[in-house]
Amino acid sequence: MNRIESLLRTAARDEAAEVAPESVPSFADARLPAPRRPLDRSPRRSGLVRGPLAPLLSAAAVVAVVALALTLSRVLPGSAPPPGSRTGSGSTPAQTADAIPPYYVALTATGAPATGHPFTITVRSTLTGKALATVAPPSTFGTFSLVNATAKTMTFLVGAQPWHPAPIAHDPRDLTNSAQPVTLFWLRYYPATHGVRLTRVPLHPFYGAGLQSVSVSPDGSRVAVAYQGQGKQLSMSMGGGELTWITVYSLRGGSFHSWSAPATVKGYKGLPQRTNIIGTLSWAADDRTVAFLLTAQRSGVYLLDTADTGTLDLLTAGRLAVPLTGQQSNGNFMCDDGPVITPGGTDVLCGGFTLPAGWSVEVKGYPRGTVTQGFGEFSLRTGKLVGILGAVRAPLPFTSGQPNPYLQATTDTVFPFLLYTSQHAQVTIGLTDGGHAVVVRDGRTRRIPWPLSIAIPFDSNAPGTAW
Amino acid sequence: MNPISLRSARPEAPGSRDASAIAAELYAEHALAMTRLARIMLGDQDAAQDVVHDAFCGLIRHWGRLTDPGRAAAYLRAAVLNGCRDVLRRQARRPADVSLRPELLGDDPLGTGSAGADAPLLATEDRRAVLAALRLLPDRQREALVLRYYLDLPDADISRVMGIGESSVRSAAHRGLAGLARLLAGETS
Repeated sequence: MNRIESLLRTAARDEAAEVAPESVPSFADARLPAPRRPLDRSPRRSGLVRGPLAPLLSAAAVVAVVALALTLSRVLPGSAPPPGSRTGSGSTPAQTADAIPPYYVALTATGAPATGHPFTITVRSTLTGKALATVAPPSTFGTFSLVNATAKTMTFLVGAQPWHPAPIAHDPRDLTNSAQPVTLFWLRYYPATHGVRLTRVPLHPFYGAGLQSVSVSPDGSRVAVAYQGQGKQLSMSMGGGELTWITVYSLRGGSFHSWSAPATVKGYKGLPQRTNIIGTLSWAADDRTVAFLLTAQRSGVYLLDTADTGTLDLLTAGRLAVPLTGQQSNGNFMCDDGPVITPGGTDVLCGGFTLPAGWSVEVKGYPRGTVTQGFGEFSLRTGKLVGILGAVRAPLPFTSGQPNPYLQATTDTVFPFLLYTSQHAQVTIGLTDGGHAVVVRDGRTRRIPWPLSIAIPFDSNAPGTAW
Repeated sequence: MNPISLRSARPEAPGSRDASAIAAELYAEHALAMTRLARIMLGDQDAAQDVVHDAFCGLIRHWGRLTDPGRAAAYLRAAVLNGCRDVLRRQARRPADVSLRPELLGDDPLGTGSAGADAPLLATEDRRAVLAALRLLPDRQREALVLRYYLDLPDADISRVMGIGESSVRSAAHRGLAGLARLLAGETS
């Protein structure tokens, strides 16, 4: 055996050894379609014509079909590509990046009320709302608990938990499964077969209580996790103090770094205020910047440079890009959910509503009556509100004068929630107008079917969907 | 020992087994080996799993035509090779710098004589270089080399998997090794 043969043999075997047996999904997790016919049946003979002339007749049929197609293509007007088509020679890169994503995944409650039942995941068509596949959690888990997007259209990051339905206390928020450990999986959808494959993400399970958000970088190499130290295990591991923190894990090598802030700071008039990371963490296209909405002494949209591992202080490593005066408002727009940084890195969008001029939420509470709701777009360069996408005029949902997302078992009464924005923010998907889903494309709004069975995940007030 | 078991699934008596059970058994027996094969061909775990998933979907889709379960492994192997070929064709084949450290082409092919603290890292880089060069070869040469030097298949079996004659297998392997040597030496043509 010569040297090249030896090198090749060694390299191939070493590369093969990189594939650990546990990294290959089990047959159940692979979600392969079921065989349609028993194995012992004879193969069906294909073709209408048999005999020695079959090849000639088949060829003639092909020629006839091609000729007919060519004729029709000259007679019939050309049809436009379907909305959201990602291919086509005439599309520019910007158009391709701003196409409407064709599929999304949604946490779906298996019964009512949603908080008392485990969740499956449904893969749906964006424009029709049709359920294309329903995924049960792996056999050793009882429920799915989170879904998140990745840079790949057909791949999603999902979390599964054991299911413990028994209520823990009288607080309605405890009628959930929130304290169970969360294990992350990649969910890959195959449109051709409507099949789904789950592959475990190489990270340890996360303690469910306090887990705020999980987000994967565009290149798929790192996962950012937002926590709040409400869980007992977390508090003990951090020396008893409650913290709000973000940890970024490398999936290539397992290294990680955390940045934290005290869970409670002095807020309005010196009163204690919790530092809350609201909504989702959002990666920029550079694979190193993470945007998050933080309520703290200086509330607003922060940009965390994850390459800055020289500090452990979240408020030092994070740059306040969009300050939100008062509690969560900028000018007269109040963000109500987590920001989504556009993949282009120029803007931040969030769902929310306008406040009357001079209105202070801290003093007056939330405004009653009709307000403008929609998706605020902020410039990361100036920190200013650029515009409101998908704006509608509607009253805010209230319970006893305050929004109470914990009582929303379905998405029929929610604030505007931003669910997705494309690379250039020309396509934005969200909930508005009392819970109807809309797509905003180039400034025009289009409603899309929105199944009310889509559930709100544990410890969250946003619907569990991901594009 | 071969990395992939060449033992074929035993043919079952018609109607004696549930099709789903047989599919699960085939998956349990072959999924890991097929994923490893695809990983060598593609160098990407996600892509490898996608190819293997598609191969099993294809097997199940054409279940009714599969009269002999013993041929399932051969079908899967061929489907994985086809899938890898498609993936590699879709990828832009940019000229890559795949040169090895010079000492590996000398008398100490595995570099054991100069093992230092960075030896594992260098070995990993060299492995990547070899496999990157492999992926630059024409389809037939690449597949012949993998089937011969990873799966240790005899030329007769390789010819059946690839659907070409044994002499073509020998020719493809010979040319593949020569091409690999040229690429690893830093020659671009």
